[in-house]
Amino acid sequence: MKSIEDIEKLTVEELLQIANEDSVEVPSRLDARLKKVLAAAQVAEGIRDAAADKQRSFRRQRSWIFAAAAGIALVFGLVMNSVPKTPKDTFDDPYLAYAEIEKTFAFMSDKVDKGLDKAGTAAAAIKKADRIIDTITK
Amino acid sequence: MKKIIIASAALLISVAALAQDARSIYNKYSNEKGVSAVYISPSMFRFIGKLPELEIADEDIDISKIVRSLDGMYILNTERQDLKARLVEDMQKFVNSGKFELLMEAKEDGEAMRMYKISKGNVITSFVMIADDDEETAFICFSGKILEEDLMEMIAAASE
Repeated sequence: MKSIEDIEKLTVEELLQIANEDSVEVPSRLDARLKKVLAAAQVAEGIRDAAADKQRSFRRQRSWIFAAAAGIALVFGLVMNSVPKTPKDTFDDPYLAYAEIEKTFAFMSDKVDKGLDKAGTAAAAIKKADRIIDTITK
Repeated sequence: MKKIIIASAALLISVAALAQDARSIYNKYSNEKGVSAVYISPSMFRFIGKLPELEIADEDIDISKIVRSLDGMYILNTERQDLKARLVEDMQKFVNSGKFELLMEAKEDGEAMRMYKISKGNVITSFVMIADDDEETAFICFSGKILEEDLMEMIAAASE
Protein backbone atom coordinates (compact mmCIF):
# COMPACT_ATOMS: atom_id res chain seq x y z
CA MET A 1 0.00 0.00 0.00
CA LYS A 2 1.30 3.47 -0.95
CA SER A 3 1.65 6.18 1.63
CA ILE A 4 0.08 9.65 1.12
CA GLU A 5 3.55 11.12 0.40
CA ASP A 6 4.08 8.56 -2.38
CA ILE A 7 0.65 9.26 -3.89
CA GLU A 8 1.33 13.04 -3.79
CA LYS A 9 4.55 12.49 -5.81
CA LEU A 10 2.68 10.69 -8.63
CA THR A 11 1.79 12.50 -11.87
CA VAL A 12 -1.74 12.71 -13.25
CA GLU A 13 -0.94 10.15 -15.95
CA GLU A 14 0.41 7.72 -13.40
CA LEU A 15 -2.71 8.19 -11.27
CA LEU A 16 -4.98 7.57 -14.29
CA GLN A 17 -2.96 4.45 -15.18
CA ILE A 18 -3.36 3.11 -11.65
CA ALA A 19 -7.11 3.89 -11.71
CA ASN A 20 -7.53 1.94 -14.95
CA GLU A 21 -5.69 -1.07 -13.62
CA ASP A 22 -8.10 -3.92 -12.88
CA SER A 23 -5.53 -5.63 -10.73
CA VAL A 24 -6.02 -3.01 -7.99
CA GLU A 25 -8.54 -4.36 -5.56
CA VAL A 26 -11.30 -1.97 -4.36
CA PRO A 27 -12.28 -2.50 -0.74
CA SER A 28 -15.64 -4.28 -0.63
CA ARG A 29 -17.56 -1.70 1.51
CA LEU A 30 -16.01 1.42 -0.04
CA ASP A 31 -19.09 2.15 -2.20
CA ALA A 32 -21.44 2.02 0.79
CA ARG A 33 -19.07 4.19 2.85
CA LEU A 34 -18.77 6.73 0.04
CA LYS A 35 -22.56 6.90 -0.27
CA LYS A 36 -22.82 7.48 3.48
CA VAL A 37 -20.23 10.26 3.35
CA LEU A 38 -22.01 11.94 0.40
CA ALA A 39 -25.39 11.64 2.15
CA ALA A 40 -23.92 13.11 5.34
CA ALA A 41 -22.43 15.97 3.27
CA GLN A 42 -25.85 16.62 1.71
CA VAL A 43 -27.56 16.66 5.12
CA ALA A 44 -24.90 19.01 6.48
CA GLU A 45 -25.38 21.34 3.51
CA GLY A 46 -29.17 21.29 4.08
CA ILE A 47 -28.73 22.16 7.73
CA ARG A 48 -26.33 24.98 6.80
CA ASP A 49 -28.84 26.38 4.25
CA ALA A 50 -31.71 26.17 6.75
CA ALA A 51 -29.64 27.98 9.37
CA ALA A 52 -28.73 30.69 6.85
CA ASP A 53 -32.42 31.09 5.88
CA LYS A 54 -33.40 31.31 9.51
CA GLN A 55 -30.73 33.94 10.13
CA ARG A 56 -31.89 35.98 7.09
CA SER A 57 -35.51 35.80 8.24
CA PHE A 58 -34.49 36.80 11.79
CA ARG A 59 -32.53 39.78 10.40
CA ARG A 60 -35.56 40.83 8.33
CA GLN A 61 -37.84 40.52 11.35
CA ARG A 62 -35.39 42.45 13.49
CA SER A 63 -35.24 45.32 10.99
CA TRP A 64 -39.08 45.46 10.91
CA ILE A 65 -39.18 45.57 14.69
CA PHE A 66 -36.57 48.37 14.72
CA ALA A 67 -38.50 50.31 12.05
CA ALA A 68 -41.79 49.92 13.94
CA ALA A 69 -40.14 50.94 17.23
CA ALA A 70 -38.58 53.99 15.57
CA GLY A 71 -41.98 54.91 14.07
CA ILE A 72 -43.72 54.59 17.42
CA ALA A 73 -41.00 56.64 19.13
CA LEU A 74 -41.32 59.34 16.46
CA VAL A 75 -45.11 59.51 16.76
CA PHE A 76 -44.89 59.53 20.56
CA GLY A 77 -42.33 62.36 20.44
CA LEU A 78 -44.51 64.39 18.09
CA VAL A 79 -47.57 63.78 20.25
CA MET A 80 -45.76 64.80 23.42
CA ASN A 81 -44.46 67.89 21.67
CA SER A 82 -47.83 68.87 20.19
CA VAL A 83 -50.04 68.36 23.24
CA PRO A 84 -50.05 71.66 25.10
CA LYS A 85 -48.56 71.48 28.57
CA THR A 86 -50.90 72.00 31.50
CA PRO A 87 -50.27 75.47 32.89
CA LYS A 88 -49.51 76.10 36.54
CA ASP A 89 -52.38 77.26 38.73
CA THR A 90 -52.31 81.06 39.04
CA PHE A 91 -53.49 80.93 42.66
CA ASP A 92 -52.41 78.69 45.51
CA ASP A 93 -55.16 80.04 47.73
CA PRO A 94 -58.73 78.94 46.87
CA TYR A 95 -60.11 82.18 48.37
CA LEU A 96 -58.07 84.24 45.91
CA ALA A 97 -59.14 81.96 43.07
CA TYR A 98 -62.79 82.39 44.11
CA ALA A 99 -62.35 86.17 44.22
CA GLU A 100 -60.94 86.06 40.69
CA ILE A 101 -63.91 83.99 39.50
CA GLU A 102 -66.29 86.54 41.06
CA LYS A 103 -64.40 89.33 39.32
CA THR A 104 -64.58 87.45 36.02
CA PHE A 105 -68.34 86.91 36.29
CA ALA A 106 -68.80 90.58 37.16
CA PHE A 107 -66.81 91.49 34.01
CA MET A 108 -68.92 89.10 31.94
CA SER A 109 -72.13 90.52 33.38
CA ASP A 110 -70.96 94.04 32.63
CA LYS A 111 -70.32 93.09 29.00
CA VAL A 112 -73.70 91.35 28.74
CA ASP A 113 -75.36 94.36 30.34
CA LYS A 114 -73.81 96.63 27.70
CA GLY A 115 -75.02 94.22 25.01
CA LEU A 116 -78.54 94.22 26.41
CA ASP A 117 -78.46 98.04 26.62
CA LYS A 118 -77.64 98.12 22.93
CA ALA A 119 -80.45 95.65 22.25
CA GLY A 120 -82.79 97.86 24.33
CA THR A 121 -81.79 100.98 22.35
CA ALA A 122 -82.33 99.05 19.12
CA ALA A 123 -85.73 97.84 20.35
CA ALA A 124 -86.75 101.41 21.23
CA ALA A 125 -85.68 102.58 17.77
CA ILE A 126 -87.68 99.75 16.18
CA LYS A 127 -90.75 100.68 18.26
CA LYS A 128 -90.37 104.32 17.22
CA ALA A 129 -90.16 103.26 13.57
CA ASP A 130 -93.23 101.06 14.06
CA ARG A 131 -95.16 103.98 15.50
CA ILE A 132 -94.19 106.21 12.55
CA ILE A 133 -95.27 103.51 10.09
CA ASP A 134 -98.54 103.05 12.01
CA THR A 135 -99.22 106.82 11.90
CA ILE A 136 -98.55 106.96 8.15
CA THR A 137 -100.62 103.90 7.31
CA LYS A 138 -103.65 104.97 9.39
CA MET B 1 -47.00 48.31 7.93
CA LYS B 2 -49.75 50.02 5.96
CA LYS B 3 -51.96 49.89 9.03
CA ILE B 4 -49.22 51.40 11.20
CA ILE B 5 -48.73 54.29 8.74
CA ILE B 6 -52.49 54.97 8.58
CA ALA B 7 -52.81 54.84 12.38
CA SER B 8 -49.83 57.19 12.79
CA ALA B 9 -51.26 59.65 10.26
CA ALA B 10 -54.65 59.60 12.00
CA LEU B 11 -52.96 60.21 15.33
CA LEU B 12 -50.94 63.13 13.97
CA ILE B 13 -54.04 64.72 12.41
CA SER B 14 -55.97 64.45 15.67
CA VAL B 15 -53.03 65.92 17.59
CA ALA B 16 -52.83 68.85 15.18
CA ALA B 17 -56.55 69.49 15.71
CA LEU B 18 -56.12 69.33 19.44
CA ALA B 19 -53.25 71.79 19.39
CA GLN B 20 -55.50 74.80 18.73
CA ASP B 21 -57.43 74.69 22.00
CA ALA B 22 -57.88 77.05 24.94
CA ARG B 23 -54.84 75.64 26.68
CA SER B 24 -52.55 76.19 23.72
CA ILE B 25 -53.83 79.76 23.29
CA TYR B 26 -53.24 80.34 26.99
CA ASN B 27 -49.73 78.88 26.79
CA LYS B 28 -48.98 81.00 23.73
CA TYR B 29 -49.93 84.35 25.26
CA SER B 30 -49.71 83.98 29.04
CA ASN B 31 -45.99 84.75 29.20
CA GLU B 32 -46.16 87.77 26.90
CA LYS B 33 -45.49 91.18 28.42
CA GLY B 34 -48.64 93.21 29.00
CA VAL B 35 -50.88 90.16 29.15
CA SER B 36 -52.65 89.26 32.35
CA ALA B 37 -53.36 85.56 32.52
CA VAL B 38 -55.26 83.45 34.99
CA TYR B 39 -55.58 79.69 35.01
CA ILE B 40 -57.71 77.88 37.56
CA SER B 41 -57.26 74.12 37.44
CA PRO B 42 -59.86 71.42 38.09
CA SER B 43 -58.18 70.59 41.42
CA MET B 44 -58.39 74.24 42.51
CA PHE B 45 -62.08 74.20 41.61
CA ARG B 46 -62.46 71.16 43.85
CA PHE B 47 -60.80 73.12 46.69
CA ILE B 48 -63.08 76.11 46.04
CA GLY B 49 -66.11 73.83 46.10
CA LYS B 50 -65.17 72.76 49.61
CA LEU B 51 -64.98 76.31 50.99
CA PRO B 52 -67.59 76.60 53.74
CA GLU B 53 -68.17 80.28 53.01
CA LEU B 54 -69.32 79.36 49.53
CA GLU B 55 -72.61 78.28 51.08
CA ILE B 56 -73.31 81.91 51.88
CA ALA B 57 -74.28 83.40 48.60
CA ASP B 58 -73.07 86.78 47.53
CA GLU B 59 -75.55 89.48 48.43
CA ASP B 60 -76.11 90.50 44.81
CA ILE B 61 -75.36 87.40 42.76
CA ASP B 62 -75.17 83.77 43.77
CA ILE B 63 -72.31 82.30 41.77
CA SER B 64 -71.67 79.40 44.11
CA LYS B 65 -73.83 76.97 42.11
CA ILE B 66 -71.91 77.77 38.92
CA VAL B 67 -68.53 77.70 40.62
CA ARG B 68 -69.26 74.20 41.94
CA SER B 69 -70.09 73.00 38.45
CA LEU B 70 -66.88 74.32 36.86
CA ASP B 71 -63.70 72.31 36.39
CA GLY B 72 -61.28 74.62 34.61
CA MET B 73 -60.90 78.26 33.62
CA TYR B 74 -58.56 80.22 31.35
CA ILE B 75 -58.53 84.02 31.30
CA LEU B 76 -56.38 86.24 29.10
CA ASN B 77 -56.55 90.00 28.98
CA THR B 78 -54.36 92.48 27.16
CA GLU B 79 -54.24 96.12 26.28
CA ARG B 80 -51.27 95.65 23.95
CA GLN B 81 -52.41 96.87 20.56
CA ASP B 82 -49.85 94.75 18.67
CA LEU B 83 -51.12 91.57 20.32
CA LYS B 84 -54.85 92.17 20.26
CA ALA B 85 -55.44 91.33 16.60
CA ARG B 86 -53.38 88.13 16.84
CA LEU B 87 -55.16 87.07 20.00
CA VAL B 88 -58.61 87.69 18.49
CA GLU B 89 -57.60 85.76 15.36
CA ASP B 90 -56.44 82.75 17.40
CA MET B 91 -59.54 82.85 19.57
CA GLN B 92 -61.79 82.99 16.50
CA LYS B 93 -59.91 80.07 14.95
CA PHE B 94 -60.43 78.13 18.16
CA VAL B 95 -64.20 78.73 18.34
CA ASN B 96 -64.65 78.22 14.61
CA SER B 97 -62.76 74.92 14.58
CA GLY B 98 -64.66 73.40 17.48
CA LYS B 99 -68.26 72.56 18.04
CA PHE B 100 -69.01 75.96 19.50
CA GLU B 101 -72.29 77.65 18.84
CA LEU B 102 -72.79 81.38 19.14
CA LEU B 103 -74.81 82.20 22.23
CA MET B 104 -74.77 85.99 22.08
CA GLU B 105 -73.12 88.71 20.07
CA ALA B 106 -73.10 92.47 20.61
CA LYS B 107 -71.22 94.88 18.35
CA GLU B 108 -71.00 98.65 18.30
CA ASP B 109 -68.37 101.19 17.24
CA GLY B 110 -65.47 98.78 17.11
CA GLU B 111 -66.55 97.11 20.31
CA ALA B 112 -67.51 93.47 20.07
CA MET B 113 -68.54 90.84 22.57
CA ARG B 114 -69.30 87.26 21.66
CA MET B 115 -70.27 84.30 23.79
CA TYR B 116 -70.01 80.73 22.57
CA LYS B 117 -70.98 77.45 24.12
CA ILE B 118 -70.75 73.74 23.60
CA SER B 119 -73.67 71.99 25.20
CA LYS B 120 -75.26 68.62 25.63
CA GLY B 121 -78.95 69.17 26.12
CA ASN B 122 -79.27 71.99 28.63
CA VAL B 123 -75.81 71.37 30.11
CA ILE B 124 -73.03 73.65 28.94
CA THR B 125 -69.73 71.78 28.85
CA SER B 126 -67.58 74.61 27.41
CA PHE B 127 -68.08 78.34 27.41
CA VAL B 128 -66.03 81.03 25.68
CA MET B 129 -66.36 84.78 25.85
CA ILE B 130 -64.38 87.06 23.58
CA ALA B 131 -64.61 90.75 24.37
CA ASP B 132 -62.72 93.16 22.18
CA ASP B 133 -62.81 96.96 22.21
CA ASP B 134 -60.43 99.82 21.46
CA GLU B 135 -58.75 99.49 24.82
CA GLU B 136 -58.54 95.81 25.61
CA THR B 137 -59.15 92.27 24.47
CA ALA B 138 -60.34 89.62 26.86
CA PHE B 139 -60.67 85.88 26.46
CA ILE B 140 -62.54 83.86 29.05
CA CYS B 141 -62.95 80.15 28.64
CA PHE B 142 -64.32 77.72 31.17
CA SER B 143 -65.47 74.14 31.17
CA GLY B 144 -67.57 71.97 33.42
CA LYS B 145 -71.16 70.86 33.63
CA ILE B 146 -73.09 74.09 33.96
CA LEU B 147 -76.85 74.15 33.68
CA GLU B 148 -77.76 76.70 31.03
CA GLU B 149 -80.50 78.12 33.28
CA ASP B 150 -77.98 78.71 36.08
CA LEU B 151 -75.63 80.61 33.82
CA MET B 152 -78.43 82.68 32.27
CA GLU B 153 -79.87 83.37 35.72
CA MET B 154 -76.50 84.53 36.96
CA ILE B 155 -75.99 86.78 33.94
CA ALA B 156 -79.53 88.18 34.21
CA ALA B 157 -79.15 88.82 37.93
CA ALA B 158 -75.87 90.61 37.35
CA SER B 159 -77.35 92.81 34.69
CA GLU B 160 -80.31 93.92 36.83
